[in-house]
Amino acid sequence: MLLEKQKEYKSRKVIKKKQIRRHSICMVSDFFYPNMGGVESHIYQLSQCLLARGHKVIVITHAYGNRKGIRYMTSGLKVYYLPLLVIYNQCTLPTLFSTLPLLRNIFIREKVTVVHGHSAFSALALESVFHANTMGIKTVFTDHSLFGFADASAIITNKLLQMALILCNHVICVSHVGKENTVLRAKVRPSLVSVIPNAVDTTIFTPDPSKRNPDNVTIVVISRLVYRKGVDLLAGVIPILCKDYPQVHFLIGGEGPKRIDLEEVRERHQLQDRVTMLGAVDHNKVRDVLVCGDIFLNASLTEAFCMSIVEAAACGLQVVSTKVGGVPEVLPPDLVWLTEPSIAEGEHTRNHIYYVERNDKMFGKCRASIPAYTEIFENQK
Amino acid sequence: MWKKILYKKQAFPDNYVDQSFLCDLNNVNGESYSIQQSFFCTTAVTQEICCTCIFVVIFANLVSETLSPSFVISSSGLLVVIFYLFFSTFLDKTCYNLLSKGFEDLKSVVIFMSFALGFSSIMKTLTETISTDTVYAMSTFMFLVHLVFHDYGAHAVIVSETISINAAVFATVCLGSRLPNEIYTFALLLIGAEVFVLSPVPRRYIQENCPFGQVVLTVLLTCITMLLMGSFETPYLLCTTIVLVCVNFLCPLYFVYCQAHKRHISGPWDEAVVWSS
Repeated sequence: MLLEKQKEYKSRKVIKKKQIRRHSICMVSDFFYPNMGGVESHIYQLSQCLLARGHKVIVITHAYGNRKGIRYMTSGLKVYYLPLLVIYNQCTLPTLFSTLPLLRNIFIREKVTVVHGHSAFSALALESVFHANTMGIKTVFTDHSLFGFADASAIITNKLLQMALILCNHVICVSHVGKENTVLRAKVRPSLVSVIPNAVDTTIFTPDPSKRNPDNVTIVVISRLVYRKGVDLLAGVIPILCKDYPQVHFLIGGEGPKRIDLEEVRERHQLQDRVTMLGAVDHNKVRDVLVCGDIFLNASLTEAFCMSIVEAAACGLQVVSTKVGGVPEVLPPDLVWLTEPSIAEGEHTRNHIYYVERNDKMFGKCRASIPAYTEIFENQK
Repeated sequence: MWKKILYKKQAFPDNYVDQSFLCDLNNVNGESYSIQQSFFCTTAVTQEICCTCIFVVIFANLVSETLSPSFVISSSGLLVVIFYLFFSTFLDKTCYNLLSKGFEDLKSVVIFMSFALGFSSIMKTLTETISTDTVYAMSTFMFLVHLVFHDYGAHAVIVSETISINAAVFATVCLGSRLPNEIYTFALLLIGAEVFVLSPVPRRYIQENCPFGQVVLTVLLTCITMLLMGSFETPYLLCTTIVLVCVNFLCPLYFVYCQAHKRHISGPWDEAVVWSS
């Protein structure tokens, strides 16, 4: 009887050991700290979660200025900053053979078992998939963005992606629209592509209704101020809303080449006290800016998975967004109100301000809805 | 039931492919041209090639002095006046006041001719020191540039009327130095201006408004080109015939064949186009 129990115990231990087989995972991308963005924070947080599970994770990226060689981040995350030539927008020159010696050296040295490439814009990630496959290492690729088909840059990038994804064991996309887009661009088997959405850290993004101004309805916009984030739409809608609703205030955070358009609108319509431009907001200060608002406005023209709306919803703001890309899939209909990407969308935003005003009056109801939001995101973790 | 949402964990695996996969994909084939349309539209290109060939033949005759400059000047001037009157009074239905506009046009013609006469002596000596081979090579290249950038009625990025006319005038200037006399250069300059600057105006009008006229004009120009080339030597005639057949028949056929392979896909991943109200 005792012998049987001992045997059972031993076999269970063996099974347990097999189940928690420790991988040596290598994340490769051109985009990593000190560059701040969606892909960068995704790689970092994914690495932290994998480290917590007991795997070994290293990150390979290109050198940022003086930041060369090996650096260590939280929980022993080893980051290799390789001295490669950067051509445009933090992307390395795609040469294929010049990265082989370095990458092969690192893969052998760290005894890598899985290589995970991120972002189709990153030539380093695509090349690492090639080299890993040559060495018999398993490969995974995550595509974070939507891309077109018609212009010259799209044709070249899609062909490169197709060449890389032939060699991948698995592909991950961040939304269903993203999966369709990747399957069409790279001509990859749909069953090879998994849809795993991004997640938000709800211990950081928590609501705080006491920070809101009860006299106004504050609309928060935090994004890079570039064309594809719909700054033109924003510039069209701000004067209309400010004219019709005297209690509406805008809080705009972020930097970019299109900032000048918003400043122009602000000057032309004398909205200096109604529209506040915060400039670039540090990543750790984003939550503090978000909790000051009642509504979060996202006017992007294209978005695979909009992380900012999830962060805003986690902070208890009502989200108003354009119906593009993967946005309709991300949040349930009561947490996000979708509109068409046109200036006439201002009409819809009017209705939304009315609803928020109503909610503001019923302050108690507003406070009660916030725990419900956090609950949804806690359950999703 | 699988739903296209991300906020709820569904009872399907992550790589599940639903029946509705890619149902939002729109395959827009866009405009497709028929063979007759393609043939008709390439007549503009044929006309331009014929005009260039006629100009080159006139130049060759001027160099070998089989054509006298006075004949060229007088006959081309007469043709211009006839076409101008015909075009302005009968064809151009837009309120064309012959007297006032005619006087202005006459003024600009007189100014241009006097300048041309003055500059023809400078023009003659401009490229005189350059070897003949270089001059011929340069002018051939410039005529090709003129043909490539000419406005044939298509809305393409490559169309640039400025580059086209400039290239043609530059080629004329290059060739002008090979002529024996200033009068010859003046004649070449006049005929060059008429062929490359003035003739596209009525030809474009005919192309847009009178399809039958366009076809007749193309046939007429092709016959004149073939006759002139034939009067030279047979290789030139053969060359011209091959080029014209390729341009006007083979290229449109290939274009129509390639259209079947054209796909313009659109879907929810496209960047939204902002319509400002």
